[in-house]
Amino acid sequence: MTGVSWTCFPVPRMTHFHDWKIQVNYEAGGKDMKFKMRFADQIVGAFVFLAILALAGILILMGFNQRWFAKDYHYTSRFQTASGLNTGMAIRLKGFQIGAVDSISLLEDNTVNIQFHIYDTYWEKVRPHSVLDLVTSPIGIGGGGLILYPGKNRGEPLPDGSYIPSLDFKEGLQLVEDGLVEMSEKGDKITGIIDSVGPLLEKVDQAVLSINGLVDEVRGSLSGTGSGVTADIMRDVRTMTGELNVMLANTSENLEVVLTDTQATIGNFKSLTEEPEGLITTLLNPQGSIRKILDDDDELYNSLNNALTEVNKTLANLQEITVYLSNTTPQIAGLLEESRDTLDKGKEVLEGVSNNPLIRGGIPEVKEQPATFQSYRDEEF
Amino acid sequence: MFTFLGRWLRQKIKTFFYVCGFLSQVMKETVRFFGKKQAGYKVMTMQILFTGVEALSVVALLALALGAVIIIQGVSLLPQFGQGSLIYNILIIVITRELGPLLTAFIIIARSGTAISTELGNMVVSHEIEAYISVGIHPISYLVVPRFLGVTFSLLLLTVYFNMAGLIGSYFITQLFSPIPLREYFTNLLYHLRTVDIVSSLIKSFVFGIIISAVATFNGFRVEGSTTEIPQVAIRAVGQSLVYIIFADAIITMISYL
Repeated sequence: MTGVSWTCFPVPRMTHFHDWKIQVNYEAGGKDMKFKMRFADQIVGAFVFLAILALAGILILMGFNQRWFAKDYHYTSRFQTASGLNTGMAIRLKGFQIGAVDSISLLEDNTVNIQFHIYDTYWEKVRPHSVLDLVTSPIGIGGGGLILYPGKNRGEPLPDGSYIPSLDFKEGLQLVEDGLVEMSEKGDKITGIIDSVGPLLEKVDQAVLSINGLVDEVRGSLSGTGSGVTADIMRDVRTMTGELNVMLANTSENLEVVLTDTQATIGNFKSLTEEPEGLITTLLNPQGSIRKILDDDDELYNSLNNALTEVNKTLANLQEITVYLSNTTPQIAGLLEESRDTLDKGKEVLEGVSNNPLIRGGIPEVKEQPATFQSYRDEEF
Repeated sequence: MFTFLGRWLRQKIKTFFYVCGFLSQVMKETVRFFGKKQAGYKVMTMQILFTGVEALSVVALLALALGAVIIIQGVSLLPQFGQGSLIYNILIIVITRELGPLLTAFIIIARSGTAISTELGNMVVSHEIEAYISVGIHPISYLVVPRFLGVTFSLLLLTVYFNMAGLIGSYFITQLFSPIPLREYFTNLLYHLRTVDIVSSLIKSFVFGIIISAVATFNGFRVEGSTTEIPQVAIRAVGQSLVYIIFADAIITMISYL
């Protein structure tokens, strides 16, 4: 299966073995390779040393950054529920992270115990009567966290392993009610709301002022005294209105004359229709000419019908003639062309006779003149 | 059918025991290697030079490019979801925990795995192994162990350099496209970087180094006597190494998250 069988061989100690084979092979690689061969140990040493140095440096920096070497002070607290709590959660004071939660456990009385640590740099803030509060964001995204409210007691900071009450229990709330806790202004929800009303009113005031300014501007624009596009439009409208008034005054004078004439015309028409001797009355009279003409046992109708039939026949004949003419038009055109040629030839003969050498100087040379007219037969297809 | 199956199974069992014997020999000789001063140290140094030092430029370049791409993409995309700080976690997971050891291993497989298989195969063909044995030099002690240690150490060290280039060097590349304050970047990076990330990365590279060197040397010695077998074993060494390190990577990652 393989070329080598793996049995244990005694390996000799070769303290001064010179690997001449590798040396010879690698020397063929040029100056760079020679340099590498000569300083292989140093290069590899530097390679290893730098890697170890980098790794150590990173670990040291990580240690400083993650406070591996700093002393932390550990405390405990209790909450009603672990909801919103998690291991590693930051504990904050005035927005600064001053510690983190180490562990969370459920106690026998169904309360939640947390163990947390405070960084040594903030240890002095953990004074007696300090309380913890779990703040959760009302919309559930960010904004929550464990907040430490330091006590107003200016005594020594609480020792390592102390218990700090939370606002989930009466003991913490009692400390707040007694005014022993240094609550930040924004920590109290009602105070927070009141604080937020001020800026809100200020914004409303600014909005009202803006609306006032806008109203003034609109008023100026509508009265045409202001500046801007609206004011220009209003001024134009005013000018146009004046011009329209003058135009209407002139028109009204002309309109009166037109109305008078129209009235007279209507009067005439009325008299024509309503008077006993009027046109309409005469036309509608049963004894009138129209009645007589129309009431003739279809004699007029038959006569008109016959006349129209004759006209129709004439038109048909005319159409046939037109078609015949349109069909014979090319032949007529060809005939006319040939007649023209015949006339030209005749003209030449007559001119030849007149120029007879016996009489005159002979037949003159004829210059070919291409015909401007071209018959349908001469067309090239 | 049964004859074929039986022969195949017998062959597999034989190979398995052969591999076990080879690995046990390698481990035994590796333990003994440090206890004695011998010429193998020089071979190991040369192996680190060729596997580690000479691959440094490729590894660093790859890490720089990868780190820079992750930072640029993350800085442009993640703040849109309000998750800008996740860039550090992504960078650490991708560079340190996952792709660092894996890509370094790929480079080593391509550069050194094939070279070792070919070199040992040639030595078998030219009867050099028999010559070593005849003068009392254990081939595993002199040929395998220095390469085994050299590749493993090189992979460990290269992974460290990959992490350095990927996490730190890529920052300076990123400055050309989307500047981030130096202090902010490194403070956040060091805050998010955990010991388990570094340990996981080193364990992976150590295991990958063992796999690559063991597979390469084993396949090198599998040459029977023909030169035509040499490229075949080199290819086989690459394929097997890739499969084994991917499996090992998955197993170590799962263990690290348990």
